Amino acid sequence: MRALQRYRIHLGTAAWILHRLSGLALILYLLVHIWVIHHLIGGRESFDGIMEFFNNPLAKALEIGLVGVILYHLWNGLRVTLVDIGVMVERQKQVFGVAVVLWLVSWGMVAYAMLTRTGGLLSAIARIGGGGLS
Amino acid sequence: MRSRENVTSGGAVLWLFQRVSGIYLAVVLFAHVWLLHFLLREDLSFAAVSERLATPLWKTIDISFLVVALFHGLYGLWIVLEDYIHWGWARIFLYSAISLVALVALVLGILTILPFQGGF
Repeated sequence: MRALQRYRIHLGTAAWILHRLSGLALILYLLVHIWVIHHLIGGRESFDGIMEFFNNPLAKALEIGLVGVILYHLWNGLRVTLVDIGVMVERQKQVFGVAVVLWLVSWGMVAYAMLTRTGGLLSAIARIGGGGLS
Repeated sequence: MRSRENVTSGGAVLWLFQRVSGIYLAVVLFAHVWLLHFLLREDLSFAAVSERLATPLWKTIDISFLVVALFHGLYGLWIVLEDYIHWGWARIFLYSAISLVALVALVLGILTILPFQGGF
């Protein structure tokens, strides 16, 4: 019990918990992704049909969230690897800060591109606005 | 600096592989997202995907991506579960379940990627 009372959520602990949670989410996504893409086996109609199912604003917004989860796991994973191999351990706090900045900046860049590109979130929303909910 | 005394056990090899595969996945995933979302500036169609998968280079990259991602993900899941599941039979059950999921996903993924040939 004493150990429990002393337990505090430090930044490093939070990062570690988030690494596990993001990893679990990514496994689920990977399995769903393999299942979705396996529709290629059924040929053109089967694949284009399932892709059309995901061609809506909700799926495209979730995709931008997914990129955030991936990039968190990626940058934090690289940070943990640096700590593990003993690189810049005495500058852990700075490395942590750099990882957070890289995460947010890279997520922002990809999110912007996914919002604005042809077939992206904004054009999917416009498609619904212009063509009605069909 | 860490001591290098324990680097010969199986756990250490897996630990190292989890780091190396993570770096590999970071690079390939970057290429994957960049290509599929930004270079092919169109909705992903059967025609576009099958044309790419017909080239041996992309087939090799995508199969290695599949294998490494499944291993990294499901081995990671195993590490997490090991922290919470302490009963012998439950571990054996989970280990079998994870292996089965890995096998099914691997076969499904390879069957998806492999058949494409030039001239589609």
